[in-house]
Amino acid sequence: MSEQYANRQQVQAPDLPLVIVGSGLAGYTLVREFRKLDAEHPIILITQSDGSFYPKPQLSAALGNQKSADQLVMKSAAEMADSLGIEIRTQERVLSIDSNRKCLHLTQEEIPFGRLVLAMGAEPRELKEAMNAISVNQLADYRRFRETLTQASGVTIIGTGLVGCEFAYDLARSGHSVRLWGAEDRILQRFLPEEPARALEKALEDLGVQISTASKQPLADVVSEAQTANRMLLTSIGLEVDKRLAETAGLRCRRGICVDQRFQTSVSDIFAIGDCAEVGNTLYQYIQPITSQARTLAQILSGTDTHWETDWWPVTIKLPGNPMIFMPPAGAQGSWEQEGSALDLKGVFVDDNGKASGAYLLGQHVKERASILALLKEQQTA
Amino acid sequence: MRKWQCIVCGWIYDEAAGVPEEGIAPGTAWDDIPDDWVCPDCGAGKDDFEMVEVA
Repeated sequence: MSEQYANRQQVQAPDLPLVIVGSGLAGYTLVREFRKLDAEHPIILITQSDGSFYPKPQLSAALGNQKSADQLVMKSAAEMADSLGIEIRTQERVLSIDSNRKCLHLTQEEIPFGRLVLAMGAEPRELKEAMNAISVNQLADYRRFRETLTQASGVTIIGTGLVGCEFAYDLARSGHSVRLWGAEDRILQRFLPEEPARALEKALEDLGVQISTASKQPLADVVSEAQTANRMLLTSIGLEVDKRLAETAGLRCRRGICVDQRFQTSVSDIFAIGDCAEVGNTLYQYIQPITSQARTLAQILSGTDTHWETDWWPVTIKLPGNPMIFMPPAGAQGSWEQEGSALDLKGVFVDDNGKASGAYLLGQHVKERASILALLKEQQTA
Repeated sequence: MRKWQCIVCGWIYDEAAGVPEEGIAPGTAWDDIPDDWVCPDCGAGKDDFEMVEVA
């Protein structure tokens, strides 16, 4: 990752606000971290939502924890604005960015910025076979999910990645009839080898989840069956960055908004972090890297000369056995060394150079988190 | 015994339970957790936790 964009020399315009687009984890974490370093600089945060602050990872566990959408809210936009000393514009859409004049166009007004941070997240990918399906990626979606659930005879989930599996677990433990369908032959295929994936499938089946795959049942059948039986269709087939706004500013985009290790886009004074940012060639759409990005950008914006480096980010999954995954580098060649049985499994991915470069832990082995992290870091630098 | 919630990810530290897998014994008071300790789920620091009512 050596890409460096736009001239780094920063023309300080002390009176112009720092403007942040997005009130999700990335946007609010950035504000909170920035305020620890700079209590004064004016900040305007613009969001399409109502600006409530809530712990996003809880969306896929809230049903079983008996939390309504309102109960998930930790602070309203007004409370956030007050406690952080910022201005928040809720339910407001940014129509375009004028990067030459350094201003944003909203429906009714124009907002000038000194520096701009795009932290607007990504949208759930839609399934063309089921355009009326529900996806839960933010609080408002969860509200709709809960409302729809009261009228549905059960839930059919499309997608066997992290979110799909977490919802299957949460719904099943709450007593709902759950079907889980994936295009791949086993759940969490991107993250886990066969043995732990099968153990988790069994744990879900023991809770009543019916799992099927494309090789057994075509998607069209699953969708029509759900529609006939008045089952809710819940899709979780990945995220897609909506690049249209970034493109109005002339920002370079690929899958996300391209940034360097300082989160600088291809236009000076415009930055991007979180689900919408592509750092190097990678999108980091998990909690830990996003909060880490926000902390680093807060330092950069307050004048510290630093940059962000990726790390081993354990991904914890809310499933039986508390699986924890340390992802192997995409495309790496190697093999898994595994031990344990049932839901107490551990695996280390050893690449063809003999280096540990990925791992997973389940059940009792979750305790080894710290030692696995240390092993991965040591081998990476060795 | 109190509970503290990570405001970033919602993870809850329960003083009664501790985090034995991280070497924090059951019954450890929040104040006695080292200042450099971070949330096991999201990496947030201690100052990103708030005390929550015990449900």
